[in-house]
Amino acid sequence: MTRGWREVGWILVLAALPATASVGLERWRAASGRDAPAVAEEGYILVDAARRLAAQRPDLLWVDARAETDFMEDHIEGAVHLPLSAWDAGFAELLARWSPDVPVVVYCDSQACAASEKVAERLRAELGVDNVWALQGGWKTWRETEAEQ
Amino acid sequence: MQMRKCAWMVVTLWAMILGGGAAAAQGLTWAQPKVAVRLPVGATAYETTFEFVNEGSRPVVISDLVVDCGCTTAALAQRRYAPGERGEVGLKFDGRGLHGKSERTLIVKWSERGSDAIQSSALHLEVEVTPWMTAKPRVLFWKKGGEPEEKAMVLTVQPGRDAALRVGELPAGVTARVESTGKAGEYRFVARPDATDAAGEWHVPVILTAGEETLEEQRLYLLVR
Repeated sequence: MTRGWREVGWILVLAALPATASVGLERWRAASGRDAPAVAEEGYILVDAARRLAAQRPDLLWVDARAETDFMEDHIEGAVHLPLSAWDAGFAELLARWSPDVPVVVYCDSQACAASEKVAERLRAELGVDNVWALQGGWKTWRETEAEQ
Repeated sequence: MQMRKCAWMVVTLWAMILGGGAAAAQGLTWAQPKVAVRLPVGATAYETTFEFVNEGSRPVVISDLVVDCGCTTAALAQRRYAPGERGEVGLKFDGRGLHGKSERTLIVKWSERGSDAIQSSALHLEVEVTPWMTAKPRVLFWKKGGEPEEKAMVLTVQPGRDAALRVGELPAGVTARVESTGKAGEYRFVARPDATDAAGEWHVPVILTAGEETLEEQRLYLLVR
């Protein structure tokens, strides 16, 4: 009976080791900021994850890839207007606030538009970094979920 | 009685289907609502026309042309088209600064005389732009207080012309040069700031020429942060 309990104890200890290591690793990642934000698929970031990232990193750069009229009407505070059609002017404006460790999130109208993905892809190539994401669901989802915050 | 009711329902359904088809055939119909084109290397401008005919029995008035980008402009010779009359909408595309494929949508809003219903036709233009030169990356970065060592990026030049690449007028505080990597059409842009003790940003022009002709000029960026 005593031997049986001892075996059970060992099994529990062995089972607890990886779980403890996993929790520790997660905390270390969160503390060090090394964890990549939750992505829906490669190159995209979910709206919730983008909000969390913006709260952790006030220097996060928002990039608005929509048409000028939409940008003038409303945009995420501090966003740089950088549509593919006016690249050089917007790119120079972005560089004034950019450094390689600054995360960049690009948005366009909604999930149906492709501009944010294209702008994010071009930014990754021209800046030579990976920490550039397209916002899943775009401006529409951002506004719809704003009230929930 | 039940049988007759069923027959009426079938007839009504067929009438709705056929009637709907007829209605869809009225008004403006387009010869080719989607145009896809690949521009020659270095070209950024493109013009096309979308031809239409008013196949309805009533005159059509085009009330608005809506383009989804400032780099595209649409033009129309007249607004009113009689039954059977043909017309065209012109579309000008300006692809300066663009790389790769770009899609543009033009919405044509129109209505038939005597009807308040505004209808719309969506026309699509897909243009592929290939610049003479591409840089990857386009930005070189130094940490403030770090060593102002030389850094490089690769420039790729499209074949087709006997082209030469050179650095334009350099801003004060940086040195830069262009050298061949030994591969056809591939160059290395090498640069460094004189000092990194303060934050700075420099825009360096790189110019691609063929004889007297300037094929393309791009700005490359040096940052100290």
